[in-house]
Amino acid sequence: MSRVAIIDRITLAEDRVESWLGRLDQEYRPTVEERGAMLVSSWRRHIDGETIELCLVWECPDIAAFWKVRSEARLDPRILEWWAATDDIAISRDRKVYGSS
Amino acid sequence: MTRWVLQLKLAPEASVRDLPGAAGQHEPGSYGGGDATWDIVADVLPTVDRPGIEVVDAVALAPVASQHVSLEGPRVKRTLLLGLKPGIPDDVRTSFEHSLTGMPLHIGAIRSWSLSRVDQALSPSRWTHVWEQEYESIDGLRVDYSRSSYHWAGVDRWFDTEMPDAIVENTFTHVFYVAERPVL
Repeated sequence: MSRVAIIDRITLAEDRVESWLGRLDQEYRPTVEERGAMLVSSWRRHIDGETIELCLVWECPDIAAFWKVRSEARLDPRILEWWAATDDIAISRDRKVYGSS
Repeated sequence: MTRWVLQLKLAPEASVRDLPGAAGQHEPGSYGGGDATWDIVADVLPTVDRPGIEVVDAVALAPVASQHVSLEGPRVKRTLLLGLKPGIPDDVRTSFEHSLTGMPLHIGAIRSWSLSRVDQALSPSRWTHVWEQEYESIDGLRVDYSRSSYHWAGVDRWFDTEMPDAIVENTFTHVFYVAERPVL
């Protein structure tokens, strides 16, 4: 049974990082966990003196859980608004989905 | 001649059994569309003059790629009607189409298949593409198709509303019915 990892990489101005992470914990993370995925690790790297790339690793226990995460996000305006607000301040953003190898 | 896919709304007593071409009521798990799909080849937009049947959506298909695979007996015919967001560059659209047409190479349960653009001149529509497949059984769609990593860790990136580079609009029609004969 394949586990599924969803990896978000978001590049932000350094002075926006802590407030964005706070909102992540309060606004977005609970919606993901309601849908059946968990934030298993969170990483950061300094690109230069002014920007930071965050790397968030979410994990779904199986493929059925992944499709639940996906399909419920499509219908939840809170999630679309969250990413729209993030894209307003992000310098770049990327999401990739991986199966366990 | 043009191949058409029509969505039908049915009154309780209505039957699509003897419509020309192929038609069938949607199976549970279908999403969007009408109560039944009608697949037919015709010069112009087909009409239905039977009581209790109303056409609620119709698309004329401009083929991109397809493959016919011999299969005896009934099969599940699935149709996905989707629309790309406005302004998608041609090279991105082509990459998206290549992703879809790669699915039969990775998902053995897909038998005959067809990818088409919607002929907007013949049938102005919010949909831009029609992605159709036939399966030997419902498990081919519900299990093999949805559990393939090529699908969820590959093709799905074009559809995922949480991804910044998704190009498919958030609404779509996903319908399937049991056909007694080949449709594709």
